Amino acid sequence: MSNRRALGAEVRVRAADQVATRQFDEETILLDLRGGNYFGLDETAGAIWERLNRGMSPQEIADQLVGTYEVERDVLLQDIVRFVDDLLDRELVTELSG
Amino acid sequence: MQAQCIDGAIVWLGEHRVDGKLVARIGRHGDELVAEFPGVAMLRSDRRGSETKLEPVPGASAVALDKLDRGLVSALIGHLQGKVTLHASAVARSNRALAFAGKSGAGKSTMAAAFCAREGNELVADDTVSLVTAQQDDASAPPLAVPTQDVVWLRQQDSVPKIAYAPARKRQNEVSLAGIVHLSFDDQLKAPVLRRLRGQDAFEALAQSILRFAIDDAAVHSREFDQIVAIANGCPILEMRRPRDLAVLDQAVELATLLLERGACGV
Repeated sequence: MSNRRALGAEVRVRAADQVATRQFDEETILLDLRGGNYFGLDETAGAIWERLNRGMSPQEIADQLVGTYEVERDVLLQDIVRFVDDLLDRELVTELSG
Repeated sequence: MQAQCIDGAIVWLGEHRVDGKLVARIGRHGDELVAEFPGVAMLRSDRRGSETKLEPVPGASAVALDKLDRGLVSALIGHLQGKVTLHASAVARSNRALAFAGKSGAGKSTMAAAFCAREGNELVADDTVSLVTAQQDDASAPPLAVPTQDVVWLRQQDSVPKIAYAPARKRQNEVSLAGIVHLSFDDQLKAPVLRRLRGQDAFEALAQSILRFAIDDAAVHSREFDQIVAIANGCPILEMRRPRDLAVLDQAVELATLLLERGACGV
């Protein structure tokens, strides 16, 4: 269970220094270089990952992707925030300050 | 599989057990990498695999030592030198090869032996398959499998010592890999089932099959990442599930033969 404070929809993150990324079979594969563990992101998660690393917040990503998927904006935003929370828990991203 | 404990000055980082019995463990002793094969030998190497020493355990069998030296020891040193070796067996037919990967006891050697019992088929390797990956300017080129062993080691029922089976034909030179088949048993099935793995599933199956010596080195992880992508882009990764019944072994060999002859497009 994480002790971190709850994330807002405006948080900004970037890939942690120890994470390498490659594209394979339309998926994004992340490698945590510390332990050699791999994580696979499907097409949707990969699209969100790519935008997070462009400095976009969950809110901005939800606004941009809401027309792409058949899902309400609030549901999509919740999913993105949860995804970012999971990435932070696994130390695959770091929160940008300011 | 991961274990970390301190035994004297050696920090053990990983171990491999078969039926609960420790068969190999790897660790670090200062800057030196060590691999212990209980009852057979201890391997020591620098981090680049350029200075290595295999120390036999007194009384170890010459056959076991030779098998270890040609197989695992060569694979572990190769890993330090930047090479990729799969825990797999490999066979060839008409200049195309298949590798059979999977956990210990999944039937890798059995499949290789059964395949090689058919006329015209060749043995490439048993237990360890050394690969040469594609160059960056030809990313979709298949990896090449390098012949390493002349015999297949088969386990007879529950007996510990394995017996050597020498196929009539052994591959003499490198051969293009047409697929890597991850073997597993599924007793719910009546017949073997072949399925192509995609994305993360393919990636994980391949990553699990690679034999590693340096497991706590970020630069090695990064290099390996590129090698796995190159291998998976160059040849299909598949899964074959089959009942644990030797009566269906022929069907499994038939599926593997079709895969070699027709490719993975229809799978």
